[in-house]
Amino acid sequence: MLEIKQLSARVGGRDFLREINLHLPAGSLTALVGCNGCGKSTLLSCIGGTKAYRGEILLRGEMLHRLPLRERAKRMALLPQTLATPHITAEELVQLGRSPYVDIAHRFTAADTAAVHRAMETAGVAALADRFVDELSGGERQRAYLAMILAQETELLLLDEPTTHMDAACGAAFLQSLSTLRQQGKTILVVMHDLGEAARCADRMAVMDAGCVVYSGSREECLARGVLEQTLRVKRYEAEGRSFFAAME
Amino acid sequence: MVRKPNKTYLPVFMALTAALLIALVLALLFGSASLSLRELVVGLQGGEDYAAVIARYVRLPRVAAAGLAGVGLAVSGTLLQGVTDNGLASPNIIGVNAGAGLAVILMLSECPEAVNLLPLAAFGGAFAATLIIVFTAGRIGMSKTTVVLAGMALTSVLNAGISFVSLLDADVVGMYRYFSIGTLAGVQLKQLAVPCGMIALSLGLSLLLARRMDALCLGDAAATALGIRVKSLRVLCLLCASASAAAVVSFAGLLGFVGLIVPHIARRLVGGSMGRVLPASALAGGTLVLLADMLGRTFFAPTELPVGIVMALIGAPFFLFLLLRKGERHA
Repeated sequence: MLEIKQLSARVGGRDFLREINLHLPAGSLTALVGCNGCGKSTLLSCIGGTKAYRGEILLRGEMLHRLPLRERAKRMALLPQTLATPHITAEELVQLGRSPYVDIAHRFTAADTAAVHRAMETAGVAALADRFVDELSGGERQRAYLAMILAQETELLLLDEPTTHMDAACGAAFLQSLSTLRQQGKTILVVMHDLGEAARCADRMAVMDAGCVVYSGSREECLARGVLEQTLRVKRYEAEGRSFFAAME
Repeated sequence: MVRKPNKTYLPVFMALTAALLIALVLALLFGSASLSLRELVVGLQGGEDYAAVIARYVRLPRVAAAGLAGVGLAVSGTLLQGVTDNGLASPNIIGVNAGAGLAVILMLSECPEAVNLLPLAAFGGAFAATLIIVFTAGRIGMSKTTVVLAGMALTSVLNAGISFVSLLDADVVGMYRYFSIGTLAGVQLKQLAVPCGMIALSLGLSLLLARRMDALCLGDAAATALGIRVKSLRVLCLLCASASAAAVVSFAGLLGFVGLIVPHIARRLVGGSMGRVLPASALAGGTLVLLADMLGRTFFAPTELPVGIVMALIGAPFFLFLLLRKGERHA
């Protein structure tokens, strides 16, 4: 689905991302993990087209930067780490997800309306349709943003720390909906900080350290080889069949 | 699952339209010489008696100019606050007023006999200032902050130019002051045709782009991911905003505060979606300037208070109120 080859990017005059190679198979949920400042969000910005890079990003074999902007938005959706909270209703926000499909006057067809309603149902925000986005709780707002990118009806979803402003239960429910989306055939790359959650919800892991991807592959292999412990200097505990991580003292 | 129907804003728009119509009638009726409703209706239809002359040749152009100025400045302010995501942005922040001011004071100083060309000079100056902003910000990156900072820098340079010319030629200061306050006295209907067309064009184009502008409010990265050409959209909106404000400057001078306060009122009434804020701002802006001009004509009649002063009296406290509320929120 998405193939990144020899990607490098400069930030502040120095090579920040160095020769990154990453493959996201179709229908996979990959958790991108790493220490603060290792380049996860910058990598997402490169894929999202808002950061210049050297190297190749191929989407289903096509060079991403050669795709017209609207065409790219029909194939790949991005939820950035920080989003403004406009004073518009949740439904109006989700409708923005149809931007790549509608004409300049943003006229909706029946298919567009149906896509918006489907996305709201899937993300569980149908009941919030008339509420203003800036009056929603952090968790509700993040679900509304998820509905917006679902309305784009893309094969590939990129999410940058989507559970940051959520409590544990809310975050777990959000990640569960990502797992459901993967089962429905979506390919997902999600930047995460909570290694335990990452190990539970993702079927693949990509581990970054100092601007490089040091591991990319199945979750099982990642855990078996102790990549997270070595790279992120954490200790793993197993309880009730689940992995938990804590910083090494 | 049965979903609630979308919240409808029809009653708000009906109330705003009714307010505009009432303000229009009041502004036609009241002034230094008040007319009765019958005199107004008969006078607008024809005749050359005292009331008819006032209604057709004094009051009608004045009221049309006030309404148009309100619509144009409100649309401009709404667009600027939308594309810069800054609630304190208004036409003077992107150098529109300072550009017009410098062109006018240069014209007064160098060609004092060409008074008829002052509106054209004001428009040219305002528009040229915007093109400089768009060009400069485009070279740097066209982000929200860049536009605001480039506008502030250019405004400082242009204001320095105005001060310099007024130091060299003290004779023009009196005339310039009149222009800089903003007044609708002596406006003629034929002066309004081109500005009216420009404001209508700007409003029409802005309404067409309204939903795309909503995506801009999510941030540049999110808007780009939605397939929106952020730079081009921002340039288009800036051009519409400046054309609209420059059109008003050409016949009303530097009328302040309308572009700053009206978008806030509109957002409170109809939410933040540009498709609703733009028409609501246009209606509220027209109403506000009509009423401000009417008050200026009637409060100290027969002496007239320029509409710019009345707007400053209303606008400055509102501006302070905004700052106080912002401070409270941060606290």
